[in-house]
Amino acid sequence: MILENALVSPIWLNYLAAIHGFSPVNLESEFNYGNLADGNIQPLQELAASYPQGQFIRISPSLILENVPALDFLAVSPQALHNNNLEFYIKNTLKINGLLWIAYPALPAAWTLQWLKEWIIAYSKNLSPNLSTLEKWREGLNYLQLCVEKKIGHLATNVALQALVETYLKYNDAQLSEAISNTDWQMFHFSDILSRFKLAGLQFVGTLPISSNYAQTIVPIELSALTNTHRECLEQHKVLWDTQCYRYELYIKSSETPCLNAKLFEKFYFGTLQPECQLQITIQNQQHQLQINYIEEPYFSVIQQLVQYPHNLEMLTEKINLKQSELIEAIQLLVLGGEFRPFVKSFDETTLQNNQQLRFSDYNYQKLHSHDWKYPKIVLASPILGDAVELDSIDALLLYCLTETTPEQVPLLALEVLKYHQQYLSIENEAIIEQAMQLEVLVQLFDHLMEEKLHYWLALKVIYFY
Amino acid sequence: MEIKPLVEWADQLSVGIEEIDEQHKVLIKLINNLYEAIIKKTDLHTVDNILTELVEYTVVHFAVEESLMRIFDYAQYEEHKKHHQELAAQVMDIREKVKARKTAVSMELLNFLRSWLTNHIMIEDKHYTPCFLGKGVKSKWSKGGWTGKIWDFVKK
Repeated sequence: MILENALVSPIWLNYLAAIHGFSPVNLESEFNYGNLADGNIQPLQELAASYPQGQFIRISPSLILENVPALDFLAVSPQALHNNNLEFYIKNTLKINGLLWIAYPALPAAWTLQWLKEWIIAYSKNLSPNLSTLEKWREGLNYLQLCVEKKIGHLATNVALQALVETYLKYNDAQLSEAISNTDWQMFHFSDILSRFKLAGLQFVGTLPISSNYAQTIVPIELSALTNTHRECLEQHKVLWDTQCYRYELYIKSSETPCLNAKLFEKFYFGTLQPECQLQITIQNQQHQLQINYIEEPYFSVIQQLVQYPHNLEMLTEKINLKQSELIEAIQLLVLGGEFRPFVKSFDETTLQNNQQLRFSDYNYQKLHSHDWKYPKIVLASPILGDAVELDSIDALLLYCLTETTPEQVPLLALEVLKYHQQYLSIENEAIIEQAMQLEVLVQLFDHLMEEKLHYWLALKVIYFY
Repeated sequence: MEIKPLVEWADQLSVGIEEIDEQHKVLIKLINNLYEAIIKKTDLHTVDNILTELVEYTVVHFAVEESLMRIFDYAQYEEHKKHHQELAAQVMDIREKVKARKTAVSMELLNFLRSWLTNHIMIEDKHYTPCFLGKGVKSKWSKGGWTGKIWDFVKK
């Protein structure tokens, strides 16, 4: 299952603050989240639907929006970094202990991106005029891939470039076009960004994704030291060899010295979306790999609890005979492995009762109602997770029909919806054309959904009873 | 005392599609429950409840049939739908009159419901079976049908 907004979701920003010893924002009551950006608003809408208690505000990077309430979170897109008033704006709008998230193309890694763009454009000039621009760019990428395979020139040793070529080859036309032809971007040094935000009264907290705080370091150092002290100095080292072209950073408006303690983790629930968890995990970047072994205690006991439903520290302390600090360390390692994560809430004990109706939140309903069922996946909001989650389209369609009609009619209505949109039911990318066969498969899928999956989507409150 | 059902399921009532047969059996069961309630002189509240369930299930059953007709482009869809509307209106009318105590649940009324249902099954519904079967609808669903199981799940 893919989580859509793990890099900007309040629960992750809070968790990142907590592991570095800063106070998270209280998500149990109202909070304000500003997004200084242009373009696609869908991620912000998904977050707003995942946090009904929060107010999510889109702010133009030109900062012309007045009367913005004091913000608990501010997410800043790269375009806004060009605005010289940014520091002043942050000073005025971000609350004390408010968290600021920023994304930008970072030097020196982004040089690779610049080099690749310029090389592809130059290479394409010599290709046949009968090819379209995109076809020429793909030719260039194919050539570079060959160089990687044959270990030729820069490509033989530059792992960042190798990774970038691999990424670009997976892009669809729109993504590739945006990546190569977008000239409206500027690269920044971490040191410059750090200085600017210090002027606005901010402290550097850490980087996203969470694993980047641990796994990408080449400085041999204890985990606790890395998360706790000399953050800025260590980050300067990391930046030098970091192969990610974009950086995602978190700052806090606070002058207090960070202090790691159990209280910072009290409001989090920890759990997993996996039905079963691996006990040995390898985390890799281009140069290094980290083996994590969960077979030993206390990891095994913690996993046994967390795979059932999300637990907070208090719940875990009642079940496992460990100090809170030991539990926190175990949880941090589990989260680092990637299969566990913080949740906003735990699961309700949802039981089916007489004549209860199922429904979606307004956002999820509108999304389903306007969906054309063309794509195999759909993203819906979960207020338990504090994030958007990806569902198979056909499961989403059956759930949607379940809110619209009686269970007897669900497979039939689903088939009628597909027919209306001139779509066919697909299994493993193969369309089933015959209506009777589609109906039979829908009946079986609905049966499976009711028996095996409905409770899961109910637990995540993607759909709920009222 | 064992009470003989008012309507008994027989092979000649089958329309040839198990899923629809199962729904018809539920309707028959509800009419027999009503009959038993009257013979046993059960309280009016129970009778009201059975009639309400009969109305609700009738609406669901007709919607299922109509949906199948739309999916498989049944030529007499509009005609059949009109007939459904008339039948649904009749049974709703009975329920309202009984609720308002304007009519008693008598044998005459039960005989009407019996012929109401058997005519619907024997005459109207048997028309669409060749069309559905001809378009690939299986006479028997692979997992024994979804109706009973899910209906139980929700109504339990």
